[in-house]
Amino acid sequence: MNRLIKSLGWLLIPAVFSACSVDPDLSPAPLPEEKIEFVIPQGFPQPVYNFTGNPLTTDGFKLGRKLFHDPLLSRDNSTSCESCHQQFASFAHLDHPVSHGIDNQFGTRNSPSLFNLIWHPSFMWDGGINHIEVQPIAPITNPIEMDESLGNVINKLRNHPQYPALFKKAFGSDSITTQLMLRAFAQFMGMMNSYRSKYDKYIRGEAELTLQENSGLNIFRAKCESCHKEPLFSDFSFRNNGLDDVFPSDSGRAHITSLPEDIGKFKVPSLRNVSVSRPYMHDGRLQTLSQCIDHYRFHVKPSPTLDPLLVNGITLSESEKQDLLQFLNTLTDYEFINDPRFKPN
Amino acid sequence: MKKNILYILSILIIPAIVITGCKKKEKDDDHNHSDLTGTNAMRMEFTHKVGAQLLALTTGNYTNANGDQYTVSRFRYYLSNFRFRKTDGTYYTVPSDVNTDFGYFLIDEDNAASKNISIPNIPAGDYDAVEFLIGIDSLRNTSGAQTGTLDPANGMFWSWNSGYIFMMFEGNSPQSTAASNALIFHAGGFKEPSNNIKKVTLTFNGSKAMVRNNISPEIHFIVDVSEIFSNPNTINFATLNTAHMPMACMPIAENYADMIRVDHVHND
Ligand code: HEC
Ligand code: HEC
Repeated sequence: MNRLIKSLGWLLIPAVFSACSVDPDLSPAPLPEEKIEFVIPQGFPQPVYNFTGNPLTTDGFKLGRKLFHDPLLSRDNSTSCESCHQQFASFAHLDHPVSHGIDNQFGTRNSPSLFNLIWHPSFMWDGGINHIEVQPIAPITNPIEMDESLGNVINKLRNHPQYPALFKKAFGSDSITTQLMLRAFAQFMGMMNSYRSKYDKYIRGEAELTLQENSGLNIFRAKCESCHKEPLFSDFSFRNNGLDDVFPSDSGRAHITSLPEDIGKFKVPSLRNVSVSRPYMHDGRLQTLSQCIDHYRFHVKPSPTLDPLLVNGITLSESEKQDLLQFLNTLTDYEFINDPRFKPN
Repeated sequence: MKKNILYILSILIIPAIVITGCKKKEKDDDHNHSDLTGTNAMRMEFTHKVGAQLLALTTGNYTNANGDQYTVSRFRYYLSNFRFRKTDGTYYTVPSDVNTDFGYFLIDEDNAASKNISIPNIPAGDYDAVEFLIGIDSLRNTSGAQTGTLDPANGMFWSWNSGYIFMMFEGNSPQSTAASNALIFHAGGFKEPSNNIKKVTLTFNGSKAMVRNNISPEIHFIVDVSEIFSNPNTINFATLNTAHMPMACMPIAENYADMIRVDHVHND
């Protein structure tokens, strides 16, 4: 009951605010999606990317949103970013172990969920991309994702009935350039932030966890936290968590550094929204969170680069596993996966 | 500690300024004053050769130091971070601004205009050497979306391992064991231990580039493609024909560090 009142409160508070902003002449209140503003969520660290040199505006954000949902950016106008990054799956590709792109081709890696990207020091499972602004170049030009050249994309945008005006609105510039397109993407993706899960509300003293969830949090802090670090649920380091003992097809971080000590290491993924973004791991090999936990309990494989924290696996009783699963569910941010600001329009 | 350094520096610098200040006056007195004020552009022309021959894309047949034959279909490279040395040993550093591509040049054998570059606003003076990078400094490799010569759409950017390709050589060799006997060398990488940015320092062989109000000197460079495959590493196309990762490109980058030389300077 108490909870119901609290959650009603959550719905009402914004209502009160928007009520205040209604003009006496009864002009319609601005939709909440019109207000694009970045505030560091309480308890979060400073982001790596803070829109320096690319000032965030509502028009820039909306342009980025349109680009993100537009299959025009692919060679045959078939595939958009959203094809592999679906909002209801926290912008992962639900039930697709590896990416499924243009011409029905399959990649080798799982589409990760996308949120809190401005806190990432690097992108991709191997961390090969060093800046949020240059990230979209990879999927656009990848022959098995969208297979289009940047030059062609820019030409299509320049000759489009709407984009020239939208770029002008967002950046005040008559010319559409790669740089402006990438900055619009960064404005949109930089605002796709998840910080309103039950866990977050618990941390802010706005919600309570059940006994089981609370026990799961304590287990998490004892056994998982060293890599999946709060509040982002990743320390963004590269580690081998023992999925394999040889890495013939995907050497992970070593693909970027060519260093033997990086073979088999992948970027620690955030566990926010993990209950809606199956399947799991860099190649999508695990279907359920229960299998993920059992991986750490029973299936960690030794290899020279296995993380030292995992040489003996992670010991968890069946009831501890259940508590941990309950806790992981509290990381789902329903306001994020339903946020109307991220939907195509 | 910091304070100490500042103190020592100021002891060293203040008299230096005063002394050079005085010297400058003397100099100004015995030179035509108008000569050494104002600015002008430093122009640079790059001629691409393979040994003694002029580079001819696709039609020219060449032989590397290992005795392997090859043709060239693409040859491009970035130059940046120019500094010009005056005869008094001081340097003029070409400024850069992260919002523009000023001072960053993409030279492409297939684009004649790109082989003549010009840097404006060089203070009048006598210059006897130039310093620059073959490649792009690490700051620009990590600063997000760039424009102009640094636009990733120019095809000199690695999307999967962020950073610029500093030197792109493509061609063919009957000795290459790659598909279609291809030679593909895309060299980049700005991070240790595979940092392929190469700093080049070249004197003007005793001549001077005299920047004046009314003189915009031109430095004429020769870029020798054959150097990419020799000195210090003799490249055997049967064993090294494709490299597009920072570490794999290191022998190529060690070689291209000295592919550019100054031929002559005009002052007109
Ligand atoms: C064909 C499916 C597909 C399409 C289309 C696609 N992506 Fe991805 N995306 C992936 C996969 C797979 C990865 C992981 C790749 C890797 O690690 O090598 C990824 C990774 C990412 C990441 C890095 C996330 C992280 O945690 O490091 C971002 C950001 C991203 N994509 C944004 C985009 C944008 C923007 C577009 C459209 C321009 C796009 N994607 C189009 C499949 C796709
Ligand atoms: C030594 C560091 C480390 C520890 C400790 C660790 N993980 Fe992981 N975790 C990783 C890495 C690295 C990956 C990605 C591995 C890959 O795909 O190759 C990962 C992936 C996952 C995934 C898949 C996420 C996705 O979106 O694909 C889940 C779920 C997960 N871990 C849960 C846990 C839980 C629960 C614990 C504690 C019982 C834990 N991890 C402890 C490093 C760690």
